[in-house]
Amino acid sequence: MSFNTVTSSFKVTRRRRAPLAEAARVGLIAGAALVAFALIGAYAAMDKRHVVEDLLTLSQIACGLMVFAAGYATARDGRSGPAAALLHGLVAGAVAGACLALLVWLTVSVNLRATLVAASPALARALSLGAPVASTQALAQLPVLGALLAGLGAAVGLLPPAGRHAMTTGLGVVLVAGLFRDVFASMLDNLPDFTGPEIELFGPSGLNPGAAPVLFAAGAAFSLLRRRLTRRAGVPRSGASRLGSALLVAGVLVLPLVTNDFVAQVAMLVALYMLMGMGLNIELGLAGLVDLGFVAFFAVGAYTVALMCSSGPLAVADVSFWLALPVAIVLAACAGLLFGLPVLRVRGDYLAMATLGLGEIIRVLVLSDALGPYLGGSQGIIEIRHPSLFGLELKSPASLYYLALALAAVVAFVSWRLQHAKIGRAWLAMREDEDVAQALGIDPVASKLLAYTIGAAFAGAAGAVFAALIGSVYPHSFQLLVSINVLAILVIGGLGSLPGVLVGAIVLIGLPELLREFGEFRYLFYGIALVAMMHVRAEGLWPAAHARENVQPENAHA
Amino acid sequence: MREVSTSPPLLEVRGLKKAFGGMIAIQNVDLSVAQGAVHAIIGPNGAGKTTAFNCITAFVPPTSGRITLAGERIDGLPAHVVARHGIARTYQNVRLFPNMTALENVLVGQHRRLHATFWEAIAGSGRFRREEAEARVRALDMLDFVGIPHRAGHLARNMPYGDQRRLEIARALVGGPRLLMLDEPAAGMNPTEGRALVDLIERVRDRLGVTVVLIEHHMRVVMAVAQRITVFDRGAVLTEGSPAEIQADERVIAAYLGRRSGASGPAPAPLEPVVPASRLEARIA
Ligand SMILES: Nc1ncnc2c1ncn2[C@@H]1O[C@H](COP(=O)(O)OP(=O)(O)OP(=O)(O)O)[C@@H](O)[C@H]1O
Ligand SMILES: [Mg+2]
Repeated sequence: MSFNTVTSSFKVTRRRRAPLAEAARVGLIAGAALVAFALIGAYAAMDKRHVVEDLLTLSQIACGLMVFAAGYATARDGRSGPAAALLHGLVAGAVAGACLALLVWLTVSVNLRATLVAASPALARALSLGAPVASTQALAQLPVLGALLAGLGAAVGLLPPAGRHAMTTGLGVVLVAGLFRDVFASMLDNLPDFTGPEIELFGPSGLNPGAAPVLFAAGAAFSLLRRRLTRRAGVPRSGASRLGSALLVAGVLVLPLVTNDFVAQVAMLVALYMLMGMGLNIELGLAGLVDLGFVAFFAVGAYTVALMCSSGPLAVADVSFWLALPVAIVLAACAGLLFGLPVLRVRGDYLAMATLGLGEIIRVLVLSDALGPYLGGSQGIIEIRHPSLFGLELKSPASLYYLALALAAVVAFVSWRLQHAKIGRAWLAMREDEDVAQALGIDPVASKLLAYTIGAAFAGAAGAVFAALIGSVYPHSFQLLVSINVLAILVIGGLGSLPGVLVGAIVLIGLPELLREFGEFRYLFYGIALVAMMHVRAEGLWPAAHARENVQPENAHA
Repeated sequence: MREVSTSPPLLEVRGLKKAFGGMIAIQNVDLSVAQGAVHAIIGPNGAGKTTAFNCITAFVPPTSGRITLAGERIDGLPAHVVARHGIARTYQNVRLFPNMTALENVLVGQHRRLHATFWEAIAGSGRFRREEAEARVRALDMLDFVGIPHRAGHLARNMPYGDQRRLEIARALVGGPRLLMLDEPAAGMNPTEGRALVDLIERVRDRLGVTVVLIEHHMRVVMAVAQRITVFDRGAVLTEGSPAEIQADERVIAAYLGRRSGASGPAPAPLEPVVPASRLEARIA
C-alpha cells in the first residue's frame, strides 16, 4: 500500500557488537560527523552566531550536541550497568573529540586547503577554543571536552524517564530561545513593560549568559511539574495534548501582533503550507493516495486569481479577490477530479510516478507556446491586486497572515468534520486495505475521486492566497519541490493528523525560514532532521493513530 | 423479491470456475445455501474453498459460472455492489484496518447504512448527527454482541488475535447482511474459544436471522454448528450432505488422507493451518 511505502521504507536493523567496540564505533561516527561538519564550512558559518552571548556559538553547540547524543546513545543501549555505560560514553566522546583534534593538527601541519577549502587557519583557530592555535593544550582539550560532554550525555541517558525528559526539555528550551533570539526578543519588546525587576534575557545576538541556566531550570522544572500533575490528577494523555493544542492556537493567533513583519511573513508562509498540507492530508494522509503532482492544484488556484484580479494585459477580469477565491477553489477541484481519473487504477509506487508526471505536465503546459499568450509563459502574470476587506486593503504581512490563517481554520474545520464522517472513515479504510474496504460496500472510484477533488480544492485556496500575497505568479513557483515539501510536512507531522500538519509546517517551513542567515546550511539540518526522524519516530511528531486510540487505563494492558 | 413461496436458496452457485493463468483453482462448483442455515465448507488445504469465497464476493472475478443471491444475479458486479446486495465476509488471515480503533472498524462496516451526504457532514446537519449517533450505538452494541465491548477504543493492531477475529465478525455483521461468509473463523482458537465461537454463530443465525456460510477445518466446530456441509477436494465439490452423512462418508476421509500423502494436487499454501489428518479421522469418528 502506498501509505505504508511512505512510512515504512526506512526500517533499519542493527548488528550487535561488544559494548566497548560499539562505544568506539559511535564515537567514530560522531567524530566523522564533526569533521564533516567542519570541512563543509558549516562550522565557520555558524561560529559567528552566538547562542549564549560571548560564551557559546551555534557551531559549538551543534558539535556539543553531536557528542552529547553519542554519549546518550551508548548509555541508552542498555546492555551494561551504569558505571560501564558511563565509561562507554566517555570513550565515545574521547574518540569523537580526538577526531576533531586530528583535523586541527592536520590543518596546521599539512596544507589541506588545496582540496578542502574550509580547512583554513581560521578553522584551526576557531577549533582551538581560545587556546594557542594547535598547541598541545588546544589539541588535548578537544578529546577531554568530548569525553566530558559524552559522559554528560551518558549520565542523562541513564536517568529515569522523568529526569531524562526534564534534562532534554531544559536543553531544548535554551537552544530554541538562543536560536530564535530575534523572534523572542521582538516579542519581548512588544510586550507591555513589566513593573519591577526586569530580567534581561537577550543580548544583542544571543541569550545572556545569566539567562541560560535560568531558562534551562525553567524548562526542566516545567517538564517535571507537568509529569507530576498529569500523574497525580490521572489526566489522560488526550487532556495533556488538548492543553498543548490550546496553547498552540493561542500562540498562532497573537504571533504577528507581538513580533515583527519578517516573522509575520514567515508565519504566513507556514499558514499557506498548512493549507496545502491539509489538502494533501486528505489525499495521502486519509485516503492513502500518494500525489507528487500536488503543486498543480496550487498553480490552478494561483493562476485563476492572477487572471481574475489583475490589471495587467493578460487579465481576463479585474474583480474582487473574494469573487475570484471561490472560482479558484472550484477550478482547482475540477482539476483534481480530472487529475484523479487517469490514475484511478494505479496503486502504490506507480501512483507516485504517475502523479509526478501529471504535475509536471501542468507546469510544462503553462510554459508552452500554446498557452503562453494566455498565461504569460515564463514571464508569468504580474500586478495582481491585493484583496481588500471592508475597504481595507490587505497588504501588510500580518493581515495576509490572518487571511491565510482564516482559510486554514475553515479548511481544518472541514477536514475535521469529513474525517469524522462516513467519507473520512471510508478514506481511512481505503488507505488501510482497499480490497477489504470495497468488500464492505465502499465505492473505491467515488471515494478516490472525492479525495482528489477536495485535496485539490484546498490546494487551490492556498494558491489563491499565494497569488494575492506575492502579487505575481510565475511557473517557476510551482516546482516539484513544493509537492515534496508538502509531502515532507505530512510525514514529519504524522500522516493523517491535522495538528501534525501544523507541527510539520512549522518545523519544515517556519524554522528554515527563520534560520535564513545560515544560507544553504539550514538544509543540512533539514536533511539530518528528516533522517533522524525516520529512525526515531517514523509515525510523525503528532501521530494520528495514537490520538484516536482511547484506551481506558484499567484495561490498557489487559 | 426476498420471500418466494417455494423458499428458494438464498445463495445459489452454478458451474463456478476460476483459473489463475493456466492453473484451475476451482471448476464445476455448485452450491446452494438455504435461507437461515449454517452451511459449512470443508476440504483439504488448497482445495479451493477460499477461492470460491473470493469469487462469490467478487474479490476476484470468476472465470465462468453463475451466482445468484435471493434470485438476483450478482456475478460480474463489482465487490462493493455485491456487498450492497447483502453479503459480508471475513478473511482467512484476519484483515482488519490495523491503524483504526475497533469502534472505527465497526463504523466503516456501516458504510452502506449511512445516508447523510458530504455537505450535510460538513454543515453538521441534524440528520448527520442523528445518523452518526445511531451508528455509534449500533457499533457498540455489535461489539457487545460478539463479546468485546471493552475493546472499542483500542487500535485493531494492538488487540489479541482472538478479539481481532471477533472484531472482524462484528465489522461484517454491522452492515446488516443477509449472508455472512466466514473463512476459518476458528483458526488458531483453543477448544474453549471454539465453543464460544459456535455459540456466537448460533446467535448470529437465531437472533440476527443471518444465513452463515463458513469454511472451517476444526471438525468439532463444524459438526456442532452446521446443518449442511459441502466438501471440496482439488477444486471441485466432492460431496454434500448433513453432518451425519459426511461423517459416514469414506471418500471424505480418503480425500484428507490422500492429500496428506502428497500424491497429487497443489501444495497447501504456506502459513495456513494444516489439520493433521490422523486427528481429523478421530474427530469425525
Ligand atoms: N490469487 C491467486 N493466484 C494464484 N493462485 C491462487 C490464488 N489464490 C489461490 N490460488 C491457488 O488456488 C488454489 C486454491 O486455493 P485456496 O486458497 O482457495 O484453497 P483453500 O481451500 O482455501 O485452502 P486452505 O484450507 O489452505 O485455506 C491453491 O493452489 C492456491 O495456491
Ligand atoms: Mg483458504
